[in-house]
Amino acid sequence: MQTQVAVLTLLLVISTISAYLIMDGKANFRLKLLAIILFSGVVIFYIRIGFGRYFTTIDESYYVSLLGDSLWYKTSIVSGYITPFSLHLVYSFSSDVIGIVVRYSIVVAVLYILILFFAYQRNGVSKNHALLAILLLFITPLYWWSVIQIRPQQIGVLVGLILAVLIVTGRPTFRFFVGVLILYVALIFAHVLSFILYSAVFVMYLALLILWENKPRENAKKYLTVAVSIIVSWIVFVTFPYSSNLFKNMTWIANNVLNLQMSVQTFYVASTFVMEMFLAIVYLMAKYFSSHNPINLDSLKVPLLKLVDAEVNVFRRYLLWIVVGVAVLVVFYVQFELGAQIYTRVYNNSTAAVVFFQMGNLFFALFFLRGFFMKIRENTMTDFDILSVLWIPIGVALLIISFFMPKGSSIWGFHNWLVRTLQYFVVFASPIVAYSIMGDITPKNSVRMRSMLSLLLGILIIISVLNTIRIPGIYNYDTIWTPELVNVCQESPVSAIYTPRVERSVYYTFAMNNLLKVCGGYLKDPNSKSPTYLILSSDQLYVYIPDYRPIGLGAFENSLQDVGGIAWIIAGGNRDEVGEYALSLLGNAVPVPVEKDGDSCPLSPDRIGYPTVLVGGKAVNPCTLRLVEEHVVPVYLDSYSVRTPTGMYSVSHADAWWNVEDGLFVIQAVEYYNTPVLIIEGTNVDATLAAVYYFVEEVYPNLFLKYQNTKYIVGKWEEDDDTVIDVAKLTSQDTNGFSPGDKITILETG
Amino acid sequence: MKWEHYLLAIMVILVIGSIVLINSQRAPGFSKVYFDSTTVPAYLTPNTTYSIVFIIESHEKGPEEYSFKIYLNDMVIKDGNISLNPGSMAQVSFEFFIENVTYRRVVLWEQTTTYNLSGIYDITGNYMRWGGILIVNDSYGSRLLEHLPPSYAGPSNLSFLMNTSKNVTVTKIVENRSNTSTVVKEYQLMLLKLGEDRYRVIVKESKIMYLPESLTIRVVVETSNGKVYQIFKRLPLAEG
Repeated sequence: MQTQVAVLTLLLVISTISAYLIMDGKANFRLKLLAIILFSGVVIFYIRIGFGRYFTTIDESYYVSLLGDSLWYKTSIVSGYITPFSLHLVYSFSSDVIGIVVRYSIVVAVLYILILFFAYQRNGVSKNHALLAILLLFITPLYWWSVIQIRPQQIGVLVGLILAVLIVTGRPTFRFFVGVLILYVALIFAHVLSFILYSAVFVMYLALLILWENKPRENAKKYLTVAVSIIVSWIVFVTFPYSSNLFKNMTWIANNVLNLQMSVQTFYVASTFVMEMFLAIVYLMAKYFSSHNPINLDSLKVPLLKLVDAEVNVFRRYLLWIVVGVAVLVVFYVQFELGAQIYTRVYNNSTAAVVFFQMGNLFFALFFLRGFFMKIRENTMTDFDILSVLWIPIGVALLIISFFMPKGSSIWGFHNWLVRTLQYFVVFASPIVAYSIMGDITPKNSVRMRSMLSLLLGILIIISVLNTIRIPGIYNYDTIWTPELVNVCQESPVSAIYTPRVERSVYYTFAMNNLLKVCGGYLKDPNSKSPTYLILSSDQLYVYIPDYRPIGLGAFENSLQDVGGIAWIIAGGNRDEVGEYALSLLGNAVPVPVEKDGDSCPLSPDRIGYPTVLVGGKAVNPCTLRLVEEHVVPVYLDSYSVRTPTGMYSVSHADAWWNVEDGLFVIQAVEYYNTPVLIIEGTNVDATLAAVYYFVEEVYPNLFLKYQNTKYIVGKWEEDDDTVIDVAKLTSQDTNGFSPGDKITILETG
Repeated sequence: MKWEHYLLAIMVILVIGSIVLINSQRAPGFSKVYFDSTTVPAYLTPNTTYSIVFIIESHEKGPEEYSFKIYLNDMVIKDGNISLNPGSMAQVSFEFFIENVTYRRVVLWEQTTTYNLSGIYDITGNYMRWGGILIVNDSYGSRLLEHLPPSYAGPSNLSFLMNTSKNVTVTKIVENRSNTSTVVKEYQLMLLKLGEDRYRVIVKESKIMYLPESLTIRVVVETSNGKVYQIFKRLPLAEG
């Protein structure tokens, strides 16, 4: 406790000094920038490892877990590619996962400050103003959450910010077009949501420029540049071979929100079409109104000026601030209500805690509104300021959409996307917030005012940091990694199986499992059957070594010789004919019956001795399912695809399940209690039969010579002779299916 | 030097102080107990001495007392106490020896077939020899000699003559031994004479595997404040 107080006191002193330095007009801006970078780095470090645990979040732990998957871009749903790619790049130099996470977020925090400084300056604010704006971002947890979480949005915000600078300050030349296009493609690959949100803001902004400014031709060119870039980058992303997983997710959301039943292909076409139509209609409307019924901006300003002019009427000023205050509170209340279940848990059901830890956000909102009114009154609104205002309708729209969003799971929810928008908003709004504070600093009152302001900002920054770090005791937040977990994870054997000894929340368990995946292991339900080698026990975890390990197919023959050529066959599925066909081909084999319900795999240390052949995939064979669940097979197969350690293969979806013309199969082996277990499975029954046939005809006679050390064979069966063996006839209408005359192609061995 | 340089210097000192303090924050302590996997055999053979090592690692906040017991199945083969300071570890080795192997009988497959036969002389297969008489089964069909007693060829190449006035039981055992198991095939034939040229034949076929019973090595470690850690490994036994 004393350490915590000491750390917080030091941080308060540093943040107050930083604020004072920055508000001092005479100090060198490089020193100020250095001070702000130092402070930011320490805060990120504190959030990361403060309170004796490693801070993470749901999203971040998911993206960190992808480090354990070399084929993440093919197998996982990601909302952007730059972040997981960068993480993998760093991971190739160091295997210290926690070190990578901590250092990565500190580096990004520094990058944020440099890019923000560049962006604010390019948009016409002074160096002091820009630095103060950056410092003021520290008072809102929305900024820290955006900066610290290693997820695609982290980079998406920055790429979009650079794009915003180019769009606002650039002239519509060919270089402008190329720059915008490149940045747009970078943006969509950085983060798709950022792409959508930034596009909405830019389209609104450029449409307003066409309406208001007296440079319609130049602004129309800018609009068209952005519109073309949006469509081109969207098409590039749609045609990107690995984006289909994300599009499946987007289609699911769109179907839920709009109550449709679109296929992914329909979504591709519909989304592109709607996007093109929307961009064209907005452009044509803006052009039409600018030439036929131009809006006089001054006519809009007059009522706003009247509203905010404090000198005119004191009563009106108080009324205005009461209305503003109530509006801000209403927004906070709605925010809270949307995530009430989560917030009540996180804040330990304490209203006082909610209010206290939202102080930074409240002050940021009030300073923003004050600055906004000042800018209206003083006619100093910049294009960048307009962008910040445009984030507000985007946020409101997403807030409304949030009510129609599918609920998702307990981990992944779509409860409140306004918060997401606010994380973009604060980055654009901060110069206005700084503007409102700079108005209070004059040469006459400088020392006292600066001291007071510095202290206030210092306190708000500490509150904001405490909000982000989710201090234990006040917050009920356990999306964390404990040092014990990190130690056990990093020092346990690869492919270990972990079982928690104490029950924790789903959030802790999710984050824990994600870290364990990076270490090559996985978390197993403590209630399920455990392996028989418990290698490690710590306070929180048991670590098991799997009973199975991949072996070469040749071991099957060696073992077969030991037991007089007899093998067990465990065939899954409701159709005994498949098992019988396998039996007829495999000759001297003994069928082992499988119960139809429950975990009925008959493999156990008490009942193993003969080399065993499992026929059928995880959907039909409980033993195959067990091997898949224990993550011990090198190759994984589902209805339409096969995943090997180095690649993925897929076949097209069949119109009718009984009428297939191709399929993939896998032949692989694992060892279980010194006994080889051969797994023969296919994406459908015909492919499975083809695999059995191929094994008997080609592999088995050459096990010793050709397949001694081969751990798996992946092949493709294709209908070639329009003949179907009887057991492969699933219905009387079945005209396609396996027969020995069909084409079998081997895709990969390993 | 300007004043802001001094201020920045103060700030740098405070930053370093903060980092030192943040790093000094410790999570609750923990301990780990684990096997040195390089010393754990894949299986055991009788009359061999094995030495296994396990490790206790302390990440507790202060010195900790550990007591341990090592079990071979349910029998304690070693126990002891260890004191560890934070950040230190202790390696404990223990030895054991397996003298006798006990077996578990696993029925892999069994089948009983009953035949009620009357006046049957049906003999399949190429030939059989019985009491100096050759029975030939060639491309001309079955050539059965007259005055032979009733004969039958059953499954699994079992052939027999049913010229018996009393009930007979024949058992054949085929044994396959491997490193890790013994597989026994048993063929049992029971002949019951029901009447003149009427027989009941019961053929029992079974394949039985005798597996050596596996052993479990278990280590249980308890700290002075009541935290318990256990590790174990089930080790299959192979015949010597």
